[in-house]
Amino acid sequence: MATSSGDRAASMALLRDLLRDDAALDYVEATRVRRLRDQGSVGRHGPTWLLAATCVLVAGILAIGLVQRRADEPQATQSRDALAARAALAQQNVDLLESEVASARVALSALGQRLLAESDIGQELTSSIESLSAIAGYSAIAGPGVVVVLDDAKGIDRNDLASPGRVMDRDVQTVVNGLWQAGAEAVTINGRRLTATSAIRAAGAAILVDFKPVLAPYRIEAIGDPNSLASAYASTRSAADLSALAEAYGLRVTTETVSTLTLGVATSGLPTIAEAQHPVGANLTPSLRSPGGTS
Amino acid sequence: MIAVIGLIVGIALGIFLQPAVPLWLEPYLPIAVVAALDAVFGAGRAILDGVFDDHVFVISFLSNVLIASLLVFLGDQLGVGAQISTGVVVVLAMRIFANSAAIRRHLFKA
Repeated sequence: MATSSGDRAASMALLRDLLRDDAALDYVEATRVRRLRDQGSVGRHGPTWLLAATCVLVAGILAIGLVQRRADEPQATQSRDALAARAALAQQNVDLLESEVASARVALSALGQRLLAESDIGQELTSSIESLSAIAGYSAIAGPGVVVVLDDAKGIDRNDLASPGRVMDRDVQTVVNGLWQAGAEAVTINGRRLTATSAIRAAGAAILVDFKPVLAPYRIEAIGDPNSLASAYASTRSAADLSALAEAYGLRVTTETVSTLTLGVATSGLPTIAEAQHPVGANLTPSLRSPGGTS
Repeated sequence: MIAVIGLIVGIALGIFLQPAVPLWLEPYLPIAVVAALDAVFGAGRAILDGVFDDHVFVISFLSNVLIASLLVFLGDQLGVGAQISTGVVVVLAMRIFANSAAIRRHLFKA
């Protein structure tokens, strides 16, 4: 395999160098030197114990290498578990903070209403604020609606990203967009309230709603006109796409009409109030504006 | 003879003692293992060629491990540790293949 193969092209020099059989040169060179000096007699150089020690070292390293790989495996699992535990802890922390934000928001709106109730213009504003905040996700909303439950095909491996029977973020998006299109006023996925800026994405095998993972089965609840929501949804392109997917890949989709649903307050993806000003004096005209535009 | 005894003792020590490799040494273990394999194959070839020299064996093994570790250490400092260890492993693996080919030619005449 080794010696130069006769190709004299300069560009081959590097490859030739790489393939040249340097491995044998160590010993050959040493032998040549020794033969010159000793006139052919085969003599030993270093002390025997040095050879023995090196042999012990070589074999020891090989053995440790073998053993170490196996010893590493539980360690890898350990560090993964430790990371998972840290992620769970951080998630708990986020949940706690979100609930704090939600309760602070309730207190804030109560204070705001009390302030608004003191003036005529404020009382006019209160009702429109109420209806807007219900739609924007700032307050809980209850009413009749539709529940769509999406689940993976039976007997598939959730972690197999290539499996067509998995519910993907796109499928959830399709349902949600269909529901909005059909006139839904509020939508939740597994209890997470969606807003105008909510994101439904995938990260690895998980589906993230506003950057928090949700697990199958995906229960998508929507509140809307009891007479038209279900039928309007059924006639959307989304519903047709989804039933085609269900037929082709075995995704499990059920849709039912429910007389009362209660959808909670959105904890993330809420429009930020960028230019709210502290009311000066008695002149109460709060300028609520949301940069994203909340329909 | 002494070499074979040394090898057996070394393997026994490595397997039965299972010394814990300290964390800072861990990146160098694969390099050391490949260098050790290279030393073994090189020695085997030299024995078959009739040119084995224990001096060369000891020095070449120690210097190879040392230089390879130094390269990987430098690479780690420069942020290219993975690439350099890949390079070292590739070079040593090529030597192993060349040596094993020579051994094969000796043993099987093929």
